[in-house]
Amino acid sequence: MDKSSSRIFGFLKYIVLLLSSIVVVGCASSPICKNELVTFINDADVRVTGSACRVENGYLRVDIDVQSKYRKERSLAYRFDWFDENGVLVGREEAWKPIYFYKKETKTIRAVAPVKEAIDFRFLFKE
Amino acid sequence: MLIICSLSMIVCLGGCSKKITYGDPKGIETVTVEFGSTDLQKIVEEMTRSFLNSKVVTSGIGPIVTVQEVNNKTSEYIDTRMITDSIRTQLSQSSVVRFVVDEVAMQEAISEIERQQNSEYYDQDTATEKGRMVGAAYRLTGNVASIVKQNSDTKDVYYKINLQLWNVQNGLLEWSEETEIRKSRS
Repeated sequence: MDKSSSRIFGFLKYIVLLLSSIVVVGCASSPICKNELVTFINDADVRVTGSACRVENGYLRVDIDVQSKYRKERSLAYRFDWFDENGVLVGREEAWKPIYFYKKETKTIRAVAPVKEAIDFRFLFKE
Repeated sequence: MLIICSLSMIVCLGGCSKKITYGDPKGIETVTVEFGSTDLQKIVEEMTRSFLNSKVVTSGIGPIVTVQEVNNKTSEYIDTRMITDSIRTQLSQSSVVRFVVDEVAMQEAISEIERQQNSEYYDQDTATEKGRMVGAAYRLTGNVASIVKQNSDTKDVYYKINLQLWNVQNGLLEWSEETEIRKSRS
């Protein structure tokens, strides 16, 4: 590889790195909710496409749009962990709840925090 | 011959023993299509969250509630007391709803008062007095119903659970919530 090719290759690598970092930042900041932590367990093949939060009657209400990437109908499971302003887990441990998706379907999962102290959450999804 | 028989029995017993493990009590349970722990937990969670966001709770009046029977209208045995007990426990922890003794536990409560009143072993200054119980302003009741369809290959069960909160004084329905569950075996 000559000097000019090496320079072009280096420049392209820089562009690719820059673009990929923009995509990561873009994906991470796209949900509307402030501090939510989206955690995937068992690598369920789903994608969070959007989220919305609001406080109603003092309780945090959350809507999360989840798109299944499976080519067939699939029964999956989800649950939430809720945290107070200090990041401490509040409320009882939630049960895993079954959710059924048709192929490539997008569903909005709605949840309400169990206590008024909850201002943040972690969303868990698994097969 | 006796030794061979004994040895084969030991081998069989050792080989046939089942492994015991602890599981996640909050995990998804799909052993059969009948009503199970996942169904119970889903119902309790949805009903409790809905109730805490109802007008009767958010208005700040601190409702006093008695729990009545949830009728089991399904074809299978379901301990509906488990549903109401769990809902009551979770609501009690919220400190915004208070519960009074229900019909089922009333006899035990009366027996305890009478025991304190009628026994010379109790200091009558500290013994619980009759006629001091608080009456419920609301009663919680509901139904669990199911539709079961089955053929040689598939069994499908649809559950519908409905809970209602009635105002004892004026008979108004103050809150109602419904949740559905569908389970299939094929």
